[in-house]
Amino acid sequence: MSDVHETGPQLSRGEFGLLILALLGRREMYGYEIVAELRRASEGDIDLPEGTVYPALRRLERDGLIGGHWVDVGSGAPRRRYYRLTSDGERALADGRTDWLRFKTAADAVLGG
Amino acid sequence: MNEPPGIEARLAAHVESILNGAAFRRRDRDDLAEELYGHLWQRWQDALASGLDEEAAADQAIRSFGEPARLGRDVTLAYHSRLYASTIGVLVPTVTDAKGKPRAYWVIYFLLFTTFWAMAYGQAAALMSWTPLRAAIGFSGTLTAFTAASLVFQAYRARQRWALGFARLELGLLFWWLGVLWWANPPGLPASLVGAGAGLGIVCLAFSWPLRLRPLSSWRDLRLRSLSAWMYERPVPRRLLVGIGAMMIVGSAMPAVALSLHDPTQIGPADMQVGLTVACTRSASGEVSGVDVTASFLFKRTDVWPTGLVDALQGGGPADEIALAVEGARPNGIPMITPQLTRAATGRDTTDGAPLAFGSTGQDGRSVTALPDSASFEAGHRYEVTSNYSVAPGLADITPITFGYDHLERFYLQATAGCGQTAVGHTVSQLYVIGP
Repeated sequence: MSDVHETGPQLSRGEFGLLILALLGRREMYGYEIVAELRRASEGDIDLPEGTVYPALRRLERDGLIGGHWVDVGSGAPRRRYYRLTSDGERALADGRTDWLRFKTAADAVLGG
Repeated sequence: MNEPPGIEARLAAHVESILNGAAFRRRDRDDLAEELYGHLWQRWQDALASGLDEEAAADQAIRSFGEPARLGRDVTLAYHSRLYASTIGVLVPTVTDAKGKPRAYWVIYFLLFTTFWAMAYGQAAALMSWTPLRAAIGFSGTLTAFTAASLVFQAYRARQRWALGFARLELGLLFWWLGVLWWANPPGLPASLVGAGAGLGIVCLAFSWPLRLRPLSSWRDLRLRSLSAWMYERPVPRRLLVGIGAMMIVGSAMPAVALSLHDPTQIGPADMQVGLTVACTRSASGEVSGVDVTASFLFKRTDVWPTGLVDALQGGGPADEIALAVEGARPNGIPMITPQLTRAATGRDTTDGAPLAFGSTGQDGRSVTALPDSASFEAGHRYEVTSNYSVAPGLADITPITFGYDHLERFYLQATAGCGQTAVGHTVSQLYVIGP
């Protein structure tokens, strides 16, 4: 599986998708906002080439985990495409979070022990 | 919006450079383009707000967005499988910029295009007129070759370097196939057309041969735009190359193989029983005065669409032919006394008594009679043809009479019998009684 960015922690495609699902689990967001929120929440450790988020969003949408809709923001600015979790996405997020925590616990036991 | 048009256009051009060459639906492309542009625009606005000037802000927005070719590849992979992206996705993205292409490029391009249409036309004709199994095999083969050739065609359009070798192979196969047609000389295809096609094939080879070692990369403006650049530089898997070559060769050969196969949906010699009975009447002096000939044939089964889909769509088709050769003595091979037909041949279905219609009947001793469409014969029915001849006085005996059956020019059966004899038909390569 290819990594999805060039600096900072190496994220697999699945991990990147899980992070996006987690952000969208909080509220609807659009692509630019997701990138900014990832950067903010990770305190700059996750600093992706910003365009990388769109293939990931397309994959999640294709898999039915998120849904998108356009919003006209006015003031001459381009429309924004907001994404939200679907019910499948909510289940995938819950499962992914459980798996991640299990992996984290196991990794902590090895690395930190 | 307060940005100058130049910056807006630059951001849009960057989006286009990402998506150019990516293969997906127009609507998806438009949506994604708008979304990417919106991202760049907002990034640019934020950079402006941080104090950068317009150009520097645009530079930052574009730089932070990521490398276009890689993004384009990831977008393609998001819409398609990796298999697609590594095969068709390598080939399909093209640019159509005409600058910098040598004339030979367009010649080969045109010839390849012509080849496609020739293949499609030939296959349509074969599908319409071939027997079911042959049509199925021929169609499958041509479709396979056509698919491979289409990939090559697209790759050649995209100036993929490896495509040139396959372009030559395809032209060679066209030449070979025209040669097969020339050799097989199928009915309905003018020999002059085949000859012209063969000539075209030679021209194709002559044009493409000198280019075999010339790298396409030496041509100006070869570099594909954005995403296509990644695809151009990506080496094509060796197995894909072998697969394409195999598809082209095997697929092209399959129609020729189909032509030589026996189609089990069609009757063969073993499905027919041809018989001949000759009875002579003699004068008191023992000379032959009259001959009664009875020829019969039994259809154990009948053909399925003997002339392809034409049968299903229109009905009809070529007819079978039967012929009788009734000759007098042949001193030095020349018939001296020719029996005269005293009553036109009559035929009937012996199973149900229905009359059998005929075409014209010759009167010159060798009489050739066209039968109705063999598809109208019923399986399990026996058909009988009778004719009577008078013989001029002075003939002690007659030359054995020959009855020939030509089934759609697919196989020939022949039986020969003299006075008072009965014979069973056997397969021959050419009928004595029909033709030269």
